[in-house]
Amino acid sequence: MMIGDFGRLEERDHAIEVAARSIVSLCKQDRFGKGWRPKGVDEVAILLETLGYSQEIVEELWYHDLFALAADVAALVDKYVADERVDDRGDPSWFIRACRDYAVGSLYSGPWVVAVVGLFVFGAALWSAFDTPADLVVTASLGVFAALVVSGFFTQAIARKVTFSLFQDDHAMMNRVSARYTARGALVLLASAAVLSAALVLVGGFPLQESLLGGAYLLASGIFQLSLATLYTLRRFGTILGIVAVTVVLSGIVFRLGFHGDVVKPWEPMVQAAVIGAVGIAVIAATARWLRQRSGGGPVGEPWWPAIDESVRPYAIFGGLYFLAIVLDHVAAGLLHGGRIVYNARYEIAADVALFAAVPLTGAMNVALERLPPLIVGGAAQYAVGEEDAFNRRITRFFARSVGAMALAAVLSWLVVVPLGDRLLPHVGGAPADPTEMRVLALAAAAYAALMLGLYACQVQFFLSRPAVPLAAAAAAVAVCGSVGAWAVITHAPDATPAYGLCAGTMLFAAVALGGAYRAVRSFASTYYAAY
Amino acid sequence: MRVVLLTEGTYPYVRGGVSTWCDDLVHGLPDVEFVVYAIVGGPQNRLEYPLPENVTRVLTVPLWGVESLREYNHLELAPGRARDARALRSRFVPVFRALLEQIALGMQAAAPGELAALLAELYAYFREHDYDWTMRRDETWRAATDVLNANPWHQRFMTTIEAVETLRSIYRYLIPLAIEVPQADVYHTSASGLCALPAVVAHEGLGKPVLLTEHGVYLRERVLALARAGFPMSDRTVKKNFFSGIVRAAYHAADAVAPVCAYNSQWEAFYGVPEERVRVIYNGVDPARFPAVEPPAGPPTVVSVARIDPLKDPLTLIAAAAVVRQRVPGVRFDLWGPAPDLEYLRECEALIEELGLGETVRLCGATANPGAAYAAGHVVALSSVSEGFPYSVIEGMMCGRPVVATDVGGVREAVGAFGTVVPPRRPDRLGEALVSLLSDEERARELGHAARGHALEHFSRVTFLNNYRALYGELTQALVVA
Repeated sequence: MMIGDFGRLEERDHAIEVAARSIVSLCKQDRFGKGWRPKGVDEVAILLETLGYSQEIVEELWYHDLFALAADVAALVDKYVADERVDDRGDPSWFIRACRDYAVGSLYSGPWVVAVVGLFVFGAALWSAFDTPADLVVTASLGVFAALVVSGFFTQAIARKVTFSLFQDDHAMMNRVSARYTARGALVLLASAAVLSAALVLVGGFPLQESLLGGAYLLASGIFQLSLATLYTLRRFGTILGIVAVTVVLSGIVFRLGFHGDVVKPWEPMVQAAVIGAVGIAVIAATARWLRQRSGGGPVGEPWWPAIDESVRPYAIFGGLYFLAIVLDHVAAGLLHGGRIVYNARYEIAADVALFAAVPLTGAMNVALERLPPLIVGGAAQYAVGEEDAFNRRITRFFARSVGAMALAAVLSWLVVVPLGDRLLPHVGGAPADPTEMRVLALAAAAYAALMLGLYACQVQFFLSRPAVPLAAAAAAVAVCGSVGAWAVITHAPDATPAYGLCAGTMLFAAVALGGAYRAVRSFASTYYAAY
Repeated sequence: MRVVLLTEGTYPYVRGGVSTWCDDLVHGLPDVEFVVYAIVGGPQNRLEYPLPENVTRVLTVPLWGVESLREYNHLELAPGRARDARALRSRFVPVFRALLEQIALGMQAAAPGELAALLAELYAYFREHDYDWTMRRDETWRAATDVLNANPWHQRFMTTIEAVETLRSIYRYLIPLAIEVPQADVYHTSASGLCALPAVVAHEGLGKPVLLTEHGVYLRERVLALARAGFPMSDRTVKKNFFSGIVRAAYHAADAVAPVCAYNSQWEAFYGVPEERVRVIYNGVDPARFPAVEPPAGPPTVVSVARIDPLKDPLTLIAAAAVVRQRVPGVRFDLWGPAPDLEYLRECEALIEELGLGETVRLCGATANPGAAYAAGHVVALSSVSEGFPYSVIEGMMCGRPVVATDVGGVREAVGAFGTVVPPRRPDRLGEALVSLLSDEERARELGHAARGHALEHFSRVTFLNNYRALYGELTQALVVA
C-alpha cells in the first residue's frame, strides 16, 4: 500500500461507518419490527444489498465481494445496537377494560333478559306464555328441553371449529362448518321432533295435537338456537340481541292481536312455534350469505370431514350433556306425582327466577377469559424460557384468583337472588311463595351459580384444546342429576328433591371442571404449546 | 420421465414470477409427467393457472389453518400412525433434539449433511407414527425447551411465550416430513426452503436426483420478511437459523443448483455450494406473447408490472414519480400488479396523495395481459429491493422497451447495456434515470430495439426449456451410470 492510500483508507472507514449507521437506522424503522437487528454477516449483507450496495460500490470500497464488506460492517453494527429484552408491561387501563369486558360478557345473558322483559310486556315471548293451559305447556316444555339438548351438540361443534377458523381468518371454512353442522343439526332436530311426537302419543298417551305441539317446539326452538350459534361464536352480541328482540316482539304481537292474549287451542302455540322457526331459518340464511360473501366465493380444496367431525365430537357431546344436566330436574319434577308427565308450574317458576343468579357471573367469566390472552402475551414477557415454572405459577395464580372472584360473585349473587325471588315469586306465580318454592329457588340459584363457575373452568380448558375433563364433568353432572331425579320419581319424593339433584350435579360439574383446569394451567406453557 | 415439481406459496395458486416460471416449464415440456407438490400457507386456495395434461397430480400441503393433518392430507399421510410413547422417547426425541441443536448453532456451525440425515430420519419416523400427536407431546416440548435453555443467548432473551410461538412454527414448518413423498425420477424444487424438504428426504432416503432452481435467494427474502413481520428478536433468530439449516440441507441434497442468474450464485457459494454443481439457467419468455410494438403516441408513460408489496418497493417508484413530474410534465406512471398486502397498498395510496400524484400515478391492479401493459408505456421500471431474475424486466425488453431498474439480484445481468440500473431505495437516482430516457425519445427507441434483440438471443422460452430438458436428462443419466 502506498502512503497516499491512507487518505482512501480513511474514506473507506468513513464509508463503512456510514453503512453501519444506515443499517441501524433502517432497523429502527417500525417496518423492521421492535427489537430487531441483523445478526451475522449474511443478515448484514442482505441489508447492505437492500440499501443499494451493489458489486460496483463494494469494489470501490476495496472489497472483493459483498460478504467481506458485510463482515466489517457487522462488527460496527454490534457496537451501535445491543440486544435488549422487549418488556411489554401490562395495560394501565385494565380497570376500564375489565368494566367493558364485564358489560360485554353480561350480554351473553341479554337474550334471556329480553325474553323475560317481553314476557311481562306481552304476556308471551319466544316459547313462553302466561295463562297457557297445562296440557299444552307440558308438551311444549318437553319440546324446548329436548331442543336445548339436541341443539347443544351442534352449537358446540360450530363454536369449536368456527372459533379455530376465525383465528385463522378463514371465512370459507367458517362458512362450511357453519353450513354443515347447522344443516345436520336441523335434520337431527327434525328427526327428534318426529320421535318426540310419536313418543308423546304412544308412550305418554297425549292427544295427537298436543304431541305434535311438542315436536313443533322442539324443531322451532332448536332451529332458533342453532341459528344463533355462529353469531355467538363471532361475538355479534348486538345482532343477537336485535334478533331476539324482533322475535320477542313478533311472538308478542301474534299473542296479543292473533289470540287476544290467551292461547287455548293447540294450533295457537303452533303458530308461535312457526314464527320462532321462521326467524331462525331467516337468520341461518342471512348468516350463510354473509359468510359466503366474506369467503370470496369459496375454496377449492374439500376437507376430509371425518377428521373434523372427530375433532369436534368431544365438544359436541359436552354441549349435549351440559344442557341435559340442567333439564333433567325439570322432567323429574313433572313426573314426581306418578302417572303422565305434568307441568310442575311452581317448580318451573322458582327455577326460572333462580336463573337470575347466573347473570352477574357471565360478565365476571368474560372478564377473566378476556384477561387471559393479554396476560399470556404481554405480562408473561418477563419470564425467560428457563423460567417456565415461574410463568406457569403466575398463570395458575391468575386462574386461582379469577376462580376466587367468581366464587365470591356467586355467593353474592345467591344472597341477592334468593330474597329477591321471595318478593318476585308471588307476582309471577299469583300466590305467596311456599317453602318448597323457596327451597327450589335457593337450590337452583346455587346450582346455576356453580354451573357458571364450572363453565368458566371448561372454557379455560377449551382454550387449551383439552375437552376430556369438561366432558367427564358434564357426564358426571348428568349422572347425578339423572340419578337423583330418577330416585325422586320412583320414591315420589317431595317436590324440591330434583333441585337437590341439580344442585349436587352442578357442584360436581364445577368441582371436576375446576380440577381439570387447575391441572392444565399448572403446566400452562406446554399445554398452551400443544393447544393448536 | 416423472418429475416432482416442488413449490412454496406460489404455483399453481398464487400469481407471480416463480409461478410463471413453473407454468412455462410444465407447459413447455409436454413429454415430461409432472407431479406438483405445492406447500401453501392455508387450506383455502384457488387454482390460478390451468394445468396441462402432463400435470397428473397436484399435492397441496397447507401448513397453517388446520388442526390435524388429516383434515386435508389424510390420503397423503403414511399408513402407520402409531401413538407410541416409548418410540417417541427412544426414537423421536433424540433425533428432534439433535436437529434443534444443529439449528441452534446457527448457519455457520451446522453441518448440512448431518441436517439432511436428521430430516430423513424424522421422515422415516413419521412414516410409522402420528405427526400431530408426536409434536404436541410434553416430551417434545421438553426436548425443545431444553435445547433453547442450553443456549445462553436464548436463555437470556427468549421468553417462555416466545418459545411457545417459535416451536409452534417449527411444528408447522416440519409438516412436509409427515407427508408421503410421491415417487419420481427427479425432484425439482423451485426454492431452497420448506418446499425442498421432500426433495431432501427423497435424496437421503431414496437416492433420487434433486434439482434446485433458485429464483430470489430464499434465505435473503426470508430474513427480510421475518424482520418486517415484527417478530421478537429471539423468535426471529431461531426461525432464521431454522431456515438457514433447511437451506443448507437443500443445497447439500441438490445434485444441481440452477440459479436464474449468475448473481445468485455468489450467495450460493457463500452458503457452501460447490461451484461445479451450479448451472445458471436464465428465465425465458415467449416472443410471440410479447411482440415488439412501437411506443404509443400518448403522454410519456412509465410502466411497472410487479406485486404491490415491500420487496418490490413501489414506494420508491412513487417517490421517483414526483421527481420525474417536475422535469417531464404530463408524465404518467402505470403500476400494474396484485396487492396481497392491503395495509401496504394503503401506504402506497397515502404516499400518492401526500405527494399530490393523483393525476400522475395509477395503481391499476393485477393484469392478465402484461404484454399490453408494456406496450402502453414508453419505459419499463422496476424498483425492487430483492430480486432473482425478474420476468417484468425481460418481458419489457422483449416488447422493445428500455428498462430502468434497481441493481438487485440478476437485474444487471438482464438489463445489460440496454437500459439503466440504479441503487435500490433511491428515488432521486431512479427518477433521474427515467427523466433521461423519457426526455430523449430517440435514445429510448434505440435502446428498446436493442433490448429486444438481446432478449431474443438470451432470454427466449425455447432456450430456457431446452436447458431444463437437458438438465433432467443429465440428472437421470447420472443416476443410471452411478
